[in-house]
Amino acid sequence: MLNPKLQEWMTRGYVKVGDISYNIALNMKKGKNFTASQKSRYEQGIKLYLILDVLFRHVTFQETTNVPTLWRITEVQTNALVRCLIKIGELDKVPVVPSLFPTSKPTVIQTGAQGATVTGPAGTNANINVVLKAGEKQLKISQSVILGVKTFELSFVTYVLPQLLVEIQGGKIFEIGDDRNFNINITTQKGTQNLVTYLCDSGAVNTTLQGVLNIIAANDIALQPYQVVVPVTTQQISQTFIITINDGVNNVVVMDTINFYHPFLFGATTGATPTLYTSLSKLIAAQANRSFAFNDVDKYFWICYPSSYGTLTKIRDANGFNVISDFTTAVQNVTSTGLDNNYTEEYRTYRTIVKTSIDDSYSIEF
Amino acid sequence: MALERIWCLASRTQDKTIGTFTDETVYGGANLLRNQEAHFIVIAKMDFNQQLTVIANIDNSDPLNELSYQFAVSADGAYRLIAFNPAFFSASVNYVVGNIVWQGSSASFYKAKAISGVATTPYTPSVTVGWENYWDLITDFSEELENPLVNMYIHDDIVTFNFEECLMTELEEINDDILCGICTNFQDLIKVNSMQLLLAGANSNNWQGKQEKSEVILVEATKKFCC
Repeated sequence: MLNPKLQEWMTRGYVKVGDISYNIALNMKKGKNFTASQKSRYEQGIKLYLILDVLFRHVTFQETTNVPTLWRITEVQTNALVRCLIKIGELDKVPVVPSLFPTSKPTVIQTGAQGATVTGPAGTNANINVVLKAGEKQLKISQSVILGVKTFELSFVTYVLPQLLVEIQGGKIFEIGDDRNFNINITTQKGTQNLVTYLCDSGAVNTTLQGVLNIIAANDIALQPYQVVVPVTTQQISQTFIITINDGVNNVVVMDTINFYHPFLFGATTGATPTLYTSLSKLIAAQANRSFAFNDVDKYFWICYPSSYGTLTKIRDANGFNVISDFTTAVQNVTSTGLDNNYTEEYRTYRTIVKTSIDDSYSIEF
Repeated sequence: MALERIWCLASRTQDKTIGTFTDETVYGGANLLRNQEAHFIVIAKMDFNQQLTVIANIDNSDPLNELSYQFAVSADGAYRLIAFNPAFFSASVNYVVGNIVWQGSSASFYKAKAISGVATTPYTPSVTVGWENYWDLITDFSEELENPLVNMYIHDDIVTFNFEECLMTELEEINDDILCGICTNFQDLIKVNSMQLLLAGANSNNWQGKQEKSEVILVEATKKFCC
């Protein structure tokens, strides 16, 4: 990237050439033209002049915007020349005092929108406001008083990303057929910029959520952090709620998910052909390698899950031994009971071949 | 709308003895026309203490139209142009001693030597009988440089004609050596580089409005390299 202070360094370099030349001329006037320091000034000045000559010939600045244009020179070369200019001219050690233009009357910006140009009498207090326009970076004014000199500094406010929190209240994992009513808490904290968009991208509940995502309220300083509670009723299927906010600079995307699964069924039975759904315990969870605690005597032990998960490769006892050969596997339909919407799902079953006694945790691997 | 005065040291004659200041101010449009102002130009050589030596024979024969003014160049260094811009005479104004006006029908400048005007008795210079008791015809403004009662615009600039010619000669000699198959003495290059540095330094100070420093640089550089 081109040195952002290119024009300033070239200007300071040119001023330095003027200063060096004047010092050389003063020494000439005093007859001190052959001293070592005079030669050193010549050397410094000539080097600066040569660098500036190259820059002046190859860099032009747009008249109103001061945007530089390079001609037959690269940014890297230009920056290297500027570094040499600063080093040789010791420009970073020389304070540059800008010209002062005395004014007899301060310009007073009255309350209200920027742009008031009323001129007040000398001594009138001036109000300085910074108004952020669309597409502009936010600015701040800071004030300091040192030895009676009041200085106002205009600077960019450090950019802060807006914050977003999306959280489904209550549990997030339920059995298929168990219709759920719940709330989603959505909390936003605006950053330096106002939010431009505030959306829910989840198609099924889009309409429900969009109505409460109030961007005006979300930008209200007095309401920060801004929270809305969105009620969702009769949810039956797994759903991810994706909220996206955008402040004109960045997107912030946060999501939360409610999941519905057919349960794992596990436990022990006296008979070999029980009604699985009512005789066994339920573990409502996604498909994964899992462990089940068994504790019974002289029973058949079962591990069942939706057949769509496939078959197991291993069933390990508490000591880690694969005991899958001690189980027999089959597929059968399981019908739920007691749910809002009962289902019948094909399950794969693993059952100990013979009755046995287990007081331990068994784990399964797909 | 106030005019933004722009003056430039625009050209010189071949023999470097005459320079020309031009008035690049934008007249007309929303601004006054050129002939709605009467100018009288004084040009002076300025030394490093800003002491002025007025240059004679500046052609001020056309105050309402002229846009360029030639002046004799005595030496390189700082020069000051003072553009006097006296108001047009008005019978509705009260004049005090020292006021200078342009009187259109006589196409001349006049300086008040007594109070006159609408509050007392208006005397139009060159017109009203007895005007001579109130006004003096003025053809030389070199005595008015300190007059606070007349509008004037000051433009400082530097003349480098002779030093540039001197530098050019040095460069030509180096080029001649090269063209004649003589390897250029490195010391000669340092001399040229030094001259270029001092010329750039003089221009830098001129750009900064420090013509008195430019004056010192040009005087000393000329003594060292061009004598």
